[in-house]
Amino acid sequence: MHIADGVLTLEATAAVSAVSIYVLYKALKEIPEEKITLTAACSAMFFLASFIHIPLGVTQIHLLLVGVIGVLIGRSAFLAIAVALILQALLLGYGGMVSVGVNLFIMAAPAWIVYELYRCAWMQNLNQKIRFFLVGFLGAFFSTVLLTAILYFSKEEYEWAAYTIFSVNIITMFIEGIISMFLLLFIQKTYSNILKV
Amino acid sequence: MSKEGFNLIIALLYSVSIAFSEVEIYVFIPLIFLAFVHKAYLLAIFKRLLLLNVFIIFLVLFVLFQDHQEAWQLFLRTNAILLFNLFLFYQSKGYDIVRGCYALKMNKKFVALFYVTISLIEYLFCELKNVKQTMKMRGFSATTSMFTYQTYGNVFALLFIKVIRKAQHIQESMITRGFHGEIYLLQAQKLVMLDYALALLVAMMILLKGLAI
Repeated sequence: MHIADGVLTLEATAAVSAVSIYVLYKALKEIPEEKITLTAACSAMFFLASFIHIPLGVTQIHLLLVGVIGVLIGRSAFLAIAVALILQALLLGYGGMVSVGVNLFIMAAPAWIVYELYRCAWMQNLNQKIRFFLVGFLGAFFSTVLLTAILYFSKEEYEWAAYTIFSVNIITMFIEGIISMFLLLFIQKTYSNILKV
Repeated sequence: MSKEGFNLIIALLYSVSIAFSEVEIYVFIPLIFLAFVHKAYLLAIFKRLLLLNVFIIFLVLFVLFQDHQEAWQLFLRTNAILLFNLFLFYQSKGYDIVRGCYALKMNKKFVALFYVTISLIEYLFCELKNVKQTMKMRGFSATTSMFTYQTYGNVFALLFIKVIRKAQHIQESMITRGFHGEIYLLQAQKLVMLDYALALLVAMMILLKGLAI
């Protein structure tokens, strides 16, 4: 899901980064001091998720956890994911410093969308397993849609790459949904107070 | 300026100056300099660069069918930036990046969040190691099955709960120590001659790029 530096055009990077920076600024302004550590915990989990490889046939994938992070901390996901992305860019080489704003938008905006959807009455009325599945599935789905759209509109040459990325990630969305469902069911059973939105 | 803040600025300058333009030969001068400085880790750094090229090569192949020149430029651009950052931060454990943010006078809450995140990442890696050992001892083998996905779901949940509890402990100890949204960090490293030389090379590269435009 990480777009490396040098892939996108200046226009695409500047426009998307401007939106990310604005939301990041608002989130930073609003975050209460007592919520900093919970946000840091989500940030650390986001960072760690890239090290846990989930088998998928002959290949492996890693989770994004953006849906789960969104449900736990809402708009503060922009802060949590920004810190994790900066660390991933500098320590691991995933993404880069110039494209950090774009990658932040691709991964944090879905977390916020999932948070807002999770609070809706229709979502709360759904069966618990389906609701938890949707948290993971929609997080990965919106991330893929945004990644695909940004690549598609950035350069004409990326059109087919964007289609391919979307197609390949469909299976990933389902696996993210299934694992998120088990994850949230476990949390609901053992530590339910953190799931109160 | 501290070395940590300098590294962040120089990485950003190098990345920005290359990310949106054509790659010329002088772009590699700072890289050659850094390769010489970090010659002891050269093989390990190139191994990591090779691994990071999976997504890049995928994109390059798509572009290759439409525009050879653009594909070649894309490959060089992304790899030059990746290599520069790998050289600068290869030995980093993350704390120097926080000190860099602190030295650059970034938002206090952001620096505090950064610092706590790194300490929680360290904690999580220890926990993950324990969980992996336990799974191995119980004869778990990962396959493409619902049981595997349920196990991974439970592992992630367990890690989430552990890290949130740890975060709460950190918060309590921070409050006890009078935390008011700001973390004070120890003295940072000073710049050395090699850093000034790197700054000069990057500045020269940007100047040459400007003249070429």
